[in-house]
Amino acid sequence: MQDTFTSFKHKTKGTLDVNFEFNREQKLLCQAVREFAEQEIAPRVGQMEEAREMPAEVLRGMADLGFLGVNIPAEFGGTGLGALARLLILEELGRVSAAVAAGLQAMYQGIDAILAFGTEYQKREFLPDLAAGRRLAATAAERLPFAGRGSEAEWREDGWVLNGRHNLIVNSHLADLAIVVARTHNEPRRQYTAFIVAKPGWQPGRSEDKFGLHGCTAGEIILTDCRVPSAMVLGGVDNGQAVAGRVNEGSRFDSLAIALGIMQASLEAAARFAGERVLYRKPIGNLQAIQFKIAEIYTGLEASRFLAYKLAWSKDQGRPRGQDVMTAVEYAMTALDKATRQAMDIHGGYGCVREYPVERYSRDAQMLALLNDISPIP
Amino acid sequence: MIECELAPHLERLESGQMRALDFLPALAQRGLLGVDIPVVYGGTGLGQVARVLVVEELARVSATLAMMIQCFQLGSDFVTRFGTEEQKAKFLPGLARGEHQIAIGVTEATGGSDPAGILTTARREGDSYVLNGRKVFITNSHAANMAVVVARTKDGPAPEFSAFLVEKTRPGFRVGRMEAKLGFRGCEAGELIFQDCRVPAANRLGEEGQGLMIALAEISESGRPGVAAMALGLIQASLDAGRDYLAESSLYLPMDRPPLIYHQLNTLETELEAARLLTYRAAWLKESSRRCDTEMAAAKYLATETAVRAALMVMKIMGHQGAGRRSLVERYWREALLLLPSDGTPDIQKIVVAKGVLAKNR
Repeated sequence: MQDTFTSFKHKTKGTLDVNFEFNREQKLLCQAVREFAEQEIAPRVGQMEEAREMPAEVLRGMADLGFLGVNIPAEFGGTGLGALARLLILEELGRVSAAVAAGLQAMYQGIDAILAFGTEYQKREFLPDLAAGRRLAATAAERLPFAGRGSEAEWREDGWVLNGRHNLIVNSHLADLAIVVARTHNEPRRQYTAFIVAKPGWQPGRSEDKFGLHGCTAGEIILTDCRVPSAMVLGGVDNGQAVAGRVNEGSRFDSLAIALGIMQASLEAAARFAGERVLYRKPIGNLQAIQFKIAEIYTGLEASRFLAYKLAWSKDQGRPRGQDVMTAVEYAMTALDKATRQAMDIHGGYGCVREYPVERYSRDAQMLALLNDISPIP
Repeated sequence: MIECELAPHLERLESGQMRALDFLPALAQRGLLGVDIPVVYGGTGLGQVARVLVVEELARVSATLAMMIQCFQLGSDFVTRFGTEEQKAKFLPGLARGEHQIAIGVTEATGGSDPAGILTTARREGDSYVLNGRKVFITNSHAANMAVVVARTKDGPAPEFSAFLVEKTRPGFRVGRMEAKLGFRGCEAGELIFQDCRVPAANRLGEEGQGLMIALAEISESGRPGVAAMALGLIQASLDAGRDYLAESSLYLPMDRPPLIYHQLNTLETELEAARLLTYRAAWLKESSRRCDTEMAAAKYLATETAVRAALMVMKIMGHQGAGRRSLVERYWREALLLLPSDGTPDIQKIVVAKGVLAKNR
């Protein structure tokens, strides 16, 4: 009998040694991010909804706590904590402000690009500053640039010249560096090349008047006869699609993390309101219809959460599962749609007024999906 | 192992020529019954996660066998967790070996979702209790040779219930009607009837008045993961059937098929993974002796709903081939439907989850 179970254990690849608990470091990280979010970000959410930009103190705080460098190896000034840590940071931030999380997500994009494709020189030149927050990155690598949008890169004798306009680029008005993926050939097949462009080579243009994620700006990046030396080509000429792909892959997973945060916030808000709001002489949490909604939010959140944790953990173990990320993101975005909607329904009329947070959660959720081009297929 | 040894006989099970019970010796011999019974009582003591894996794998091939076995495991968990040393030593080894088979007698016509509606009485008379009443929808009612029975020991506006281990050999205990169900042919669900059935006080599980608490705790933390595990197996089986069909079917060439079908199956894989993670994690919480009724309810809810949807989706993909009696998928769908009310309807699961969330966020 014992033999059967030895072989059974091997068959399941040690699943019997499963552990669903965070270790001490992970718990401390969650706690630290939560404290930062509640002390530094929460009081400024109202201000962000009005001013529509990220407060300098929040940015500085995140840099000081090492959030920016979570993926950057120690040799370049980061903490090298990995994918699960990054996920936890974005989840905890997203719970208080999806906008701040989205701003951080955009900073990670540029870092991902340089980490994956940068030359030694580029890594040494930029990563330490990016890790410390001395410089910030925006990334113009839209999946499907509109006709007339995006930029062209032309080779002239001693360097590249970039011209064009990218829109809805997060951190356009905050960044010093832009990773720009420009078209390099139009005939016979469209090719792209990625460049690292420092200011003043590019300028922010119009800031888009978005309906959600206030607190991070998304606007135009404008390049006008911008000269870029060959040393600033990222990932090799005509390899831009690979760079864009890599950036979008990381960004999608970050969206998943932020979605978890919004769902957690929705659940807490719904439960709190259900315990406070009295109708028919009892808190509405006693009504089964309300209970069902809360259960739906919870189940969608927990399922998305463990899908995400397992994927991040697999990545940290050196076993990334790219295709599964796509479906997990879709799953989570569907759950997010439901969660924000159920939370609003539970609040009734109060779900539509600014005094309660759930209308912001709905707007932030939809904006997150649109910005990252990850709306679930209906 | 399961596929090689059992597969040839499963058709006879499904057509009614064999009962699930006939497979018990083979399963018991492999240690699959006593997966979460402590070693000292004859089990392999591997824990709840291992038990979930066993039930899941079995359900993929035969949900009927999985139903029988996970119910036996639930019954033995009543004893493991709430039995005295004497009771554990007396009953667990036999349960682990498959020599005893145990059913859970809680549900009655007057109360399943609302167990306070139980009307079966247990009247104290000296050193024993006398049981009178009728239980319905009891899985393994006829296969079992003993049952955990919850009965009313105190009437009135604040009724109290107690749990008893009742061997079938005791006079006054018999089985009644067997339900004709949507599926699980060979693993019956029927009536347990008590007419002045005398049970020694030594057979009482836990203290007098603890019966409902014991039943709810066990159903929540040992019953639900078993049902969720079955659902996981069914989802995998449906997925496999769908992919096999797409690979073989020659009516359309692969590129003629709408890509949406492949997308649906991919989405289903992710939903299976999600249900798996919730179920394993809830099982892990139980293994670590942590409170887990919220997580168990959420896992059971997600897994069973997904199982119904998965089977339906694959049935639709397979078209008329999915509907015929020969198709395995229509059986998966019927079996998945049977899982929905097992150990609590989906709405009950949602109420349990909500109450947990509300309590946490007060």
